[in-house]
Amino acid sequence: MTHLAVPSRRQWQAQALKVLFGEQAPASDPWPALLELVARFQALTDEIRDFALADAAGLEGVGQDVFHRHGEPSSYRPAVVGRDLRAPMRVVLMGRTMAGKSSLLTAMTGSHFDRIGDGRQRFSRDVLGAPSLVSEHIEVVDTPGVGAHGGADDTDAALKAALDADVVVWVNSSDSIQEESAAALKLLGVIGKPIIVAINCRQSLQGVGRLNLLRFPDRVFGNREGLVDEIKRHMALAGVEPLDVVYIHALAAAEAKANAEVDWQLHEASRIEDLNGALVREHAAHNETRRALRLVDGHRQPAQDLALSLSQGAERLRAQAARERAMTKDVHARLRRLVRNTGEAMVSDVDSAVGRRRDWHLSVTDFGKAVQSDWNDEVASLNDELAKALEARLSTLTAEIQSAVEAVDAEWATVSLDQFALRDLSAFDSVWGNRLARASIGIGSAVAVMAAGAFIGGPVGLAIAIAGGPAAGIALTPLKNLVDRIFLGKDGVLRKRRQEVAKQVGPILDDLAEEYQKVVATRLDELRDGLASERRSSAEHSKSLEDLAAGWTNHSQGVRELIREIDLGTTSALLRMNGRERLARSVTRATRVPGVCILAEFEDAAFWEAWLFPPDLGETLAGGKAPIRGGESASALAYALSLAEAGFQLTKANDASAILTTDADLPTAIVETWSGALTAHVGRPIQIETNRRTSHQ
Amino acid sequence: MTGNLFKESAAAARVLGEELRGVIADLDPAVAQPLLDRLSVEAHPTPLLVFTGYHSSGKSTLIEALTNRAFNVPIGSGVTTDEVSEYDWEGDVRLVDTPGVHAGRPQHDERAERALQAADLVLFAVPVELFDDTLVAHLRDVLGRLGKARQTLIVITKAGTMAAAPGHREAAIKDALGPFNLVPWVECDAQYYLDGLDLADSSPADSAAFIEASGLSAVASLINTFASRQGEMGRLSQPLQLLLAIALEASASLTDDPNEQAALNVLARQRSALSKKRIHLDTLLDARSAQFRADAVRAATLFADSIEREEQQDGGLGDVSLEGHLANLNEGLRVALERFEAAVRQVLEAQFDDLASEVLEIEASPYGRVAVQLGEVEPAGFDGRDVVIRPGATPATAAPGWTSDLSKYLKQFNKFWGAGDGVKAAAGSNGHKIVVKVGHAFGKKFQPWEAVKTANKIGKAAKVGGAAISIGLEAYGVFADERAAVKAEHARSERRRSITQEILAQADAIVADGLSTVRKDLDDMFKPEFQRIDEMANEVRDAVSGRSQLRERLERIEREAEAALRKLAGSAH
Repeated sequence: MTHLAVPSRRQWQAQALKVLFGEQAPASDPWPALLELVARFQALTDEIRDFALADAAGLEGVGQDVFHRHGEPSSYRPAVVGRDLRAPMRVVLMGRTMAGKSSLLTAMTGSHFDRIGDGRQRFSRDVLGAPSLVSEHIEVVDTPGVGAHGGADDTDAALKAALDADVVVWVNSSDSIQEESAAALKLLGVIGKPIIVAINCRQSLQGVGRLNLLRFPDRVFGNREGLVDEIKRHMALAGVEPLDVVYIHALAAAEAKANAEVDWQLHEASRIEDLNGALVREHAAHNETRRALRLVDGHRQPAQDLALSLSQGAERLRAQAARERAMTKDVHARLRRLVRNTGEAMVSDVDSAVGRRRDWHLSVTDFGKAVQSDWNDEVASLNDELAKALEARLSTLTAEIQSAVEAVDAEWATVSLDQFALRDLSAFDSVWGNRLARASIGIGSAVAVMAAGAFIGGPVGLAIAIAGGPAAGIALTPLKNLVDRIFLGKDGVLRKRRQEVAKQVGPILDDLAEEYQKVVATRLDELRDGLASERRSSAEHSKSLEDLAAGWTNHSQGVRELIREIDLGTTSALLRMNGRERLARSVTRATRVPGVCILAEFEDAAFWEAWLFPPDLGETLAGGKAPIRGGESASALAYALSLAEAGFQLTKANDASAILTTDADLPTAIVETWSGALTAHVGRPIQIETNRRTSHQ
Repeated sequence: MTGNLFKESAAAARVLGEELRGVIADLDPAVAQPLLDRLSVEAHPTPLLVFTGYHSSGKSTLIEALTNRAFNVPIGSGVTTDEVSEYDWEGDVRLVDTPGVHAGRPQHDERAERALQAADLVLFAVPVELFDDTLVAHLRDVLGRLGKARQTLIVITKAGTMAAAPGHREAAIKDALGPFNLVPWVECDAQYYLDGLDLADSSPADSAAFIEASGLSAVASLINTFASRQGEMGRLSQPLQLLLAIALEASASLTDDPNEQAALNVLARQRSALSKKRIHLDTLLDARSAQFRADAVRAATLFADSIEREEQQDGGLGDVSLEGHLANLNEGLRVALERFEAAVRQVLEAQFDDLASEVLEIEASPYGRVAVQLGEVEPAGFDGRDVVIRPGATPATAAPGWTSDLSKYLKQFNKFWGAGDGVKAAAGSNGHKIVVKVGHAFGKKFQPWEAVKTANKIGKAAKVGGAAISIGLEAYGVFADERAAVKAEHARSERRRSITQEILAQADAIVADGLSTVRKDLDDMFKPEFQRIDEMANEVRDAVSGRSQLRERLERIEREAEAALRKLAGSAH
């Protein structure tokens, strides 16, 4: 039925175990230690989470919603204290709207007939539990259907209820599984809930319908293999397989109990007892361990989410920092060019304007008082011309800087952070992260999308204007008159003045030009300084993003440590509940992949015991032993052998990595999940290859 | 009358700019805002036409005629325009009417002076009575000191009021221009034109005859020649080029296809880099010209100084020493020209190097990377390491049909503009070619000043000066002969002016000639590149079948801007 290994020797375990390995030590109560462990785990992960948020709080552009996954009630955590351990096993019915969940509730509990829908979507909108007819130790819980049009709230409520389930019964109508409901199913799988698939076969009971069900049950229940395969494929994407698959007629089962007199013929024909039987068996085998797993996973799963969010967030922060640095480099290259070109143009403006006046003195014909005022006019016009020209250059520059910044911003906004991210999930995260990814529960959605901005705050302040021009000594020195006139005569005076004017104009213009160049240089230097400080603060921002990333990476590792700790404690507790005190005491290390497997490292003797007589914990336990030095990657084989009945070969192994090959016909996603789990557990890259024969997805 | 290109291209830029603004406003605001910002801030200076000349020389009438009576310019007898009046021709062109020149000094008031300095074109009005000394001085002041020899048109304004025998006016103008003999002139009668406009309804035949006789279309077409000469990439075409670049960028935002978007953005950035560089080159070359002129003036001043010094010391100027001074002058001018040539080469080298590095930067930018990778040119990698797991990877799409053309185009562009190791190192690049060509551009040199020719020009003054100085040796005679001496001094000033003007005229001719060759070479390089960019952009855009209304509007704007540019270029020949 499943690929999971259930060794045949389990049948004679009861007799042989004692003979081979001796009496078990008196079993201690596993619960107090487990409850304490969970409480501690909760407190410590909360603390790390608060630290991580506090680290990010001061940093602009980093969202607080890093830890929030949309559409998934990860914030729900069961209370640790005050739990009634004698409460019945909680069986949650889940499925698409109109799948027949409420009919099934009625059939299984003999109550709440009014919940059965009338052919419309979203008839039952609440979560409701009632004791099962077959066992007082089983409680059946009905939930709103998932995947109804506009029913996101219903899905949310159903998933919340499922998180608090010991077993989920996935009720699927006989026709198909739709995309929306498949997503919910996969999510359940990823979280690790044990799932019994109930195919609710449709057949109207009116008219000859009832007769059809009674006479030709194969027409009603048969030919569902395609649908079951499809459901299994979806689950496989989450790395899990159904606990059981049953075919029922929920409405028939409900109608059989509609009257005071139970219609046993109809009851039997509905095959509802297949489901009840599966549940009773499950209760008998795993009631206590399921309870423990429900409690642990309620805390473990959000913590795992937190660890992944933190490491993904750190990755994203690093990518953001890298992009920011590249963008900063780009924008400043563009701005430097703009400033340089403007500087060149401004210097040219000065040269042109001053150059045009080089021969001013030649136009002077009247060397009387008018010379000075003419010259003043000329200088005023030069100042005016330059002030206007230079100011225009600067205002153009301001605008160009603005638009260059905007253009760079727009251009880099098109660059996906993926271009910079390493996207290499560490082995530990990859188990969880890849399960999410394969189940198409976007990893990205778990991580905040952070704003790209914050590298240059708006336009660069450019309060530059050359008002009135430089105030250099630009006046001609007064021309001496009287004395010269006596000694030189009027013509001599004229000549002398002409020479004086000619002599003075050049240097004055030189001074003027120099003065203007200086002003231009000063203004542009100020601007360059401003840009340089913008650049520095951009670099600082990038740096602080990287610092935060480093912090988050640490926090993430801290959470992982806690998860390792709780995995070990959980495994111990489960073994104890299973009556395997000896194993419980000898487990040294454990890696859990909820719903998939527990990889547990045992002391030598216990390893053999676990290998010969694997405990039945409700989750596959694959035992291994501490590796010899350099044999870490090869040690994966021991665990793998417990994962699938078909067996594995160690195709290639060295001290760095190993490749395992199996002939088992396994879905890719399950194999990859196992590879990830092994990789995380032994700390070396382990790859499982299948010699696949059929075309599993 | 032929349309006015100053007005038309400015109007085209204004109208198309408004339309483009309208199109952009309909785009996604995130994309639109930077484009709008750019469109509004890179506002261009409106072309400035300045009218100068004598009082009552018909400047105001000419303005009315040229603008088809867009303004009601007050016209009366006597001094009609006492101060500078400015007319805004529909926001596209500014017309400045200066008061006429005053006798006594060739300069006039400050506002007129500034207007003349900033003028894109000076229309120098000359009455049928032709020139007197004051007007000649004013003309030469505008041409020489204000450096408007290449931007002045002499208009004989009231041709209808007096007939003149052929050649007279030409001779008078030639005489007045002196060394600036390349300045064009034209005669017209603006009043006839206005009369013709008045008669248009009542008597169409007479109207046509008046308009024909006015000769105003000749004026208009000469004005257009000036407009064209401002260059394909000059001030007039600048706003149109800007429009084209922004329109190209806007069209990039109309597509959802990231490849198309990247390719168009790269093209737009390349286009804008080229047109900005072209304008920047003009600015820098103008400044080098101004420095060259200053060097020439300095050489002229040294020459005049040395002659005068010798005249004073020795009482005359010997032929041998004149030869020496001339040799110094010629050497000074040669050095000035050499410096100019070197400066031009240096400007070109530096700017093409800068352009090359910008081209590489464009290719290295995010959009450039996409475009380059599309084109399968060896991409410069991001620093990031290889991808291991790709959650949410974007599906690979097939490369668009234009990738191979884009690849060819980018290779070509990189080869011609982006030689990153410096202009000199890259023999195939445009920068290298044009720098090599600079030497040929300055084939024209200063004509050596020769003793015989120069002596005639400066001799008169020298003689007067010599006489004056010999008389002035006696203290008593100073007052007695002061009148003659002052006259001689004035003559010396005049000689100085004429020497300088002669040299400046040559310098201007060299600048005009050399720079027009350089500019033509530049245009020969830039224009086809713009065409290639536009063709590539069209190919990219045409690959998409759906044509939105916004795209139609953008393309219409582009077509019209291109047409306006073509028209502007067309009348240059």
